[in-house]
Amino acid sequence: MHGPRLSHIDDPGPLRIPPALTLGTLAVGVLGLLVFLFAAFTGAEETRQSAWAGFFVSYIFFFFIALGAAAFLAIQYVTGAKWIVVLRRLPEALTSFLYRGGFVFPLFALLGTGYIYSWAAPDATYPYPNTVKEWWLSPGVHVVKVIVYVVPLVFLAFFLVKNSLRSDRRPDPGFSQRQLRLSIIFLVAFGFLFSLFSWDVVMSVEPRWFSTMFGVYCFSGAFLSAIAAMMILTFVLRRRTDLVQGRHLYDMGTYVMGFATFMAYIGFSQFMLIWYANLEDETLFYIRRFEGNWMPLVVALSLLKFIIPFLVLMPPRMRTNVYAQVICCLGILLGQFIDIYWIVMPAYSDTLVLPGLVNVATFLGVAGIFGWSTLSFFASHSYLPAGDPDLLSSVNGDYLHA
Amino acid sequence: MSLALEPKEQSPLLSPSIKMEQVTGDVLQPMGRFPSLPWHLAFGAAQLLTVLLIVPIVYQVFYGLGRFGINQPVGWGIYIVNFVFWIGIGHAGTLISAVLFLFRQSWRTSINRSAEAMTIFAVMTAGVFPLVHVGRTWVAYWLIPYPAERELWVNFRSPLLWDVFAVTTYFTISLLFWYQGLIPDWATARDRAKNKFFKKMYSILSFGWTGSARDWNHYERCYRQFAFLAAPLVLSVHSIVSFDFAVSLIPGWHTTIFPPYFVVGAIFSGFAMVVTLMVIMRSLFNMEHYVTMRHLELMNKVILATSIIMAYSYLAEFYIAWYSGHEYEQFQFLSRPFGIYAIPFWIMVICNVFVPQLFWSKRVRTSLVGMFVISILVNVGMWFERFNIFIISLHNDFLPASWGAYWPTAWDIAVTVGSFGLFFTLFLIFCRVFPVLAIAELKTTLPSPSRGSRLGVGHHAHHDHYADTDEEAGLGPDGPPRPAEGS
Repeated sequence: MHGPRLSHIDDPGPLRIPPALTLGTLAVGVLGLLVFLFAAFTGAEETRQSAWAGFFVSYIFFFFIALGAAAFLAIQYVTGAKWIVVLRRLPEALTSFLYRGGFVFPLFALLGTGYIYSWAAPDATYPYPNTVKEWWLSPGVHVVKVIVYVVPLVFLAFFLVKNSLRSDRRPDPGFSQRQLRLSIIFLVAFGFLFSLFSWDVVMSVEPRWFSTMFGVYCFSGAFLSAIAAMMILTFVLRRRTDLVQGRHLYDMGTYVMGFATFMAYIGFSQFMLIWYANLEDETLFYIRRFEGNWMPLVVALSLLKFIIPFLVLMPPRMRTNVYAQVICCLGILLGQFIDIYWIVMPAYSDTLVLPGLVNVATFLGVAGIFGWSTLSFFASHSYLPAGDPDLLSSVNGDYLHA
Repeated sequence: MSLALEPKEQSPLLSPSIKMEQVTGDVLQPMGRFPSLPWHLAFGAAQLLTVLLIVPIVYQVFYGLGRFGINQPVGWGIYIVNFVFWIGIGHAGTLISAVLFLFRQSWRTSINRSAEAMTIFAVMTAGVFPLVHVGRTWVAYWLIPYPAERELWVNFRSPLLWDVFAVTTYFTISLLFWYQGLIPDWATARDRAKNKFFKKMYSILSFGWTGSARDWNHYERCYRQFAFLAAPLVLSVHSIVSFDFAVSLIPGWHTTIFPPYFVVGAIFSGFAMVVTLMVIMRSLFNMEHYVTMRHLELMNKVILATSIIMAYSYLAEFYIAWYSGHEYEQFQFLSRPFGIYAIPFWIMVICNVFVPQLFWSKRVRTSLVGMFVISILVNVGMWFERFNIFIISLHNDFLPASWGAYWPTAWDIAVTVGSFGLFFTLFLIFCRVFPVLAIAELKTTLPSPSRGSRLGVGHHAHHDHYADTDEEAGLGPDGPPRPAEGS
């Protein structure tokens, strides 16, 4: 926008989204999940195994995007960031998946514990039998763990979004102070619970392997994919309003590039330390993921998640170019999916397996629910946080002089 | 519903009593006059402490390493602890100068010059330890690989060599970045100098800076590119220092979280050191109007945030040691809180995890005494953290027959205390002969008649074409130091 300095902004109201689109997305979601349920409960043993594995990969992908968006939101409140206010509805829309159906997925996955985790199979063998790990990784304890890790985060994220939505209707002088307090609580809880979730729910698909970095690794993937998803929504929002300007895109692009680099740093450090030390219990994770034709996935994910976005977004001009950004971000999302697939699937197969039809339907199922939650969020809430006192600062660029 | 609320006004970064015209005089004033008595006392004390560094090193050359407490199996003693400690101290400087710059945190302007100086002096202090430790210091340059000359090829597989590259790169970039920021200020000093000799000297130091638009244009581009180059160095240096330990097979050392954990620890201790130095400096040189409570409070918040991340890292290590089911790993972590080194361990936990939590209270965060004490305790804690990691993991070897213990001797303690002497000597010289605040950058944060209100209309036209040109998008409207007035 090159127009004059604005002195006030009217509440623009929700985006006009055809109900057919919202309902259609929901229908795809329900149909996909029905296919999954059919395969997971009536199929042959091998079909069930593959269906549950596909379900696990799909829900972790979307669940991580939503959690990453919630963490992004909380960080913006804690740092008092003003540039983001005009875009704040985007992470809020992604976060809303957590309480609009998203929390059901990790709980539902508990039904498939016996298929997802080798330690939960009836004939499970433990690398260290009769240790406390045998108790810690057992189906009963797993139920408690998932509930304890997921429920508080979903609740806190719910209030984080709800407070902001409420301030649209009734401007609240104590808004930033209240959100600041809530965000601090959320971030501290997130740091510990998300890491425990990463270790106990994701890392334990390979029960013998362990890495202290894995929590940070999952966080950087979740955060990066959340920013990438936001970038794609920015593209949509920019067509509706000229309040989203070049410098917002520029800052988002810098964020994408910065966290793509962070992802590479964390991923490389984890790999290098394990590869160099070459200890049996640790290095087996990478050996299984490099051999048996899994290697192309490693190449793909490092290109998509780091090398391409890093090089493409390096010139400042590219960071204000919507198309370059969106293409890079679609690549990042694909890379993040490949990353999760590559972490999880070699636990079930020594050689490369590609997703089957049931897996594709399952992915579309979870994606449908995710898409429905995002679309209906935008259809029912204003796309600008008009009640936020910092919205003008974000639009006029006053934060640049603060 | 339309918006009626105005953005909340923040407390000013600089004291409102500061006038544009007094800044240059205030900053340059310590350079032009005979130093005060407190400075002389502080400098004398630092000199005396430096003696404590030199004497043990000379003594060691004659009597050998046996004078220090090292033995089998603890072959790495106080030298490595101090090396990592001092490298860590340096991190806040690069973070403030590069990362906060890229994040457009304008509060960095009052502290960046001295924080960067602190980085350089900390790395120099750190460098003393490996240089003495290589034994033949005069051939330390053999670590630089150019085999055609000497037919000597270094071991590229050793993380200790990676350290050489990481630390020298870091030192070089930090030094150049710091010096670049100094150039306009040297020119200001030159223009103010009355003495012919000083005029000549500052003229050489400022590389003939004229203050033209062209100069500033080059300067701003270069500053930004340096910031991008320096930002990854914040991560890389301490990550590679952590590789020295993490690539090994020793329980307690070999853990994948080490790189980011070391980096956060370094930022934590570095910021604590900046707070310590700033509290001293602002009273020693009457800089209270420039380094205000808001700067100190913001730094205290960074200390609080990094302290929580430290707590996370400690817990992550304990959790995975337990989860892994490895008995060596578990024994190692049990012997930290309950073994013979329990006291250093608990000092570390109390100083690094519990004490900084006091910063949740705004009263503590804005109390000079409070933050001074806490910042020193944080660095005590961080020194003990390195001690714990390095010593505890070594003292219990895999076979109980080769267990040992290491306790610092008087010589170890002297070297450690003496390194502070060297650091403070360098820092006090800096305070005496350098412009301790970035004059040009500082002026950009002051309201001035030409800028109108800080949200002025005149300024607005400039950055609304943000996306139009490479330069504007790249250099950014708030950009690096903008020529607020001729230097």
